Amino acid sequence: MSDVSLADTDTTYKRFAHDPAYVQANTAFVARLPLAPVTRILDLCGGSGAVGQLMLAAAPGASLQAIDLDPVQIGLAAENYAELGYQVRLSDGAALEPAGPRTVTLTVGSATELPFPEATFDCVMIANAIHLIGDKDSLVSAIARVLQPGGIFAFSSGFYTGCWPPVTQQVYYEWLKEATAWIARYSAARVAAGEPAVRRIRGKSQLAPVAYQNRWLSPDEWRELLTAKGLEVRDLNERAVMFDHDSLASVGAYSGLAEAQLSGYPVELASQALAATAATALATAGVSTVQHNWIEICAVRR
Amino acid sequence: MSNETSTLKFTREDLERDILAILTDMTADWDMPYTGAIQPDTRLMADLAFESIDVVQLVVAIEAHLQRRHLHFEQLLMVDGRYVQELQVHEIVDFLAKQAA
Repeated sequence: MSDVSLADTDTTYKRFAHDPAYVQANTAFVARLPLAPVTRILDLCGGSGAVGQLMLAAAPGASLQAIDLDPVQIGLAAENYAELGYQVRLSDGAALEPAGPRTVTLTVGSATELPFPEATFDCVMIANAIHLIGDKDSLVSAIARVLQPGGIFAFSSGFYTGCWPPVTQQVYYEWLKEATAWIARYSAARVAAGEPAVRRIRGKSQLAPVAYQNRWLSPDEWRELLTAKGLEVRDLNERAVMFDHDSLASVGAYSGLAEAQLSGYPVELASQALAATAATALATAGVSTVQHNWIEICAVRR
Repeated sequence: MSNETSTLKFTREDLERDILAILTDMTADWDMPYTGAIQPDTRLMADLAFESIDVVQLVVAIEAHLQRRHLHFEQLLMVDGRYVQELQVHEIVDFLAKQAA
């Protein structure tokens, strides 16, 4: 068959978590944060722990509590932290007693429903996920509640107003078109082989609400929201991250992105379609990399 | 960046008629509360509950119909650095008519 055969694909975030451009961006983000005196970190949407590990390395006296909605990611995080020698505790959502340094507590749960008393943490962090949360007002209120006075709230995000230069917009749009065409070719090949066509089922994905419903904030809007919630912005940085074909293929294979962008298609198929067509999307725009800007904010609880 | 163009010519009236037909065909078997005929002021997100990939598939259908590729719909979908919150049918028609002019 042509370019549309299926292969085993890692659809977790693990592959992109090791992407050199992504690792470099996360490392640079963490390096800007005043973490040395921090003792208790809350990592929201912690995923497989890629950024949490960087935070702990920069705050050697700290314990870390991570929350993520996806039990698969929590499982990966448990493996990753254990491999690095951290003591790992799994919590069912109930708040556990504070732990000492080099202890990581992992919970499957929502970033907007925090089961912790007021002023529990001296650092709350979300790495590249805050854009996924629709009700940012409630989220920031919840973060401010669990943060001690003087504690820091830090986040990075690749999705905000101004994150994509025009060429990047074009590449990403062509990428989705190429991926849907790839699925159409795959489906046609199945039919030719006497198998059922690929079917898309609309309206079932939890990750794909009505298009563009989740509004991106601008840097000024972030500053305004944080200030209104009692958080003083101390550092606001925009970082240009350059993604090449391998970076795009890695993130395209991630099931969370594939389910959101190609909603309704079988997720493994969608992951493969995005991974297989990243190079074509770049070539169509006549570029070898795309610039994807990230916003990094560090604010202090008043 | 090349625009592959066809020799087909479309007036604004042609475009409106064709886009309405494409949308009507595309949404014929969708399970959605909107029951009226699709009109120029129909909203893709609020009325037809378009998901992101629905927008992409609409673009692909339009480009196939017009026999043109790379119409740069991202310029219609992103304004001032972020996605638009809503899109009405006539905005698509206007965008295409401007490119055809």
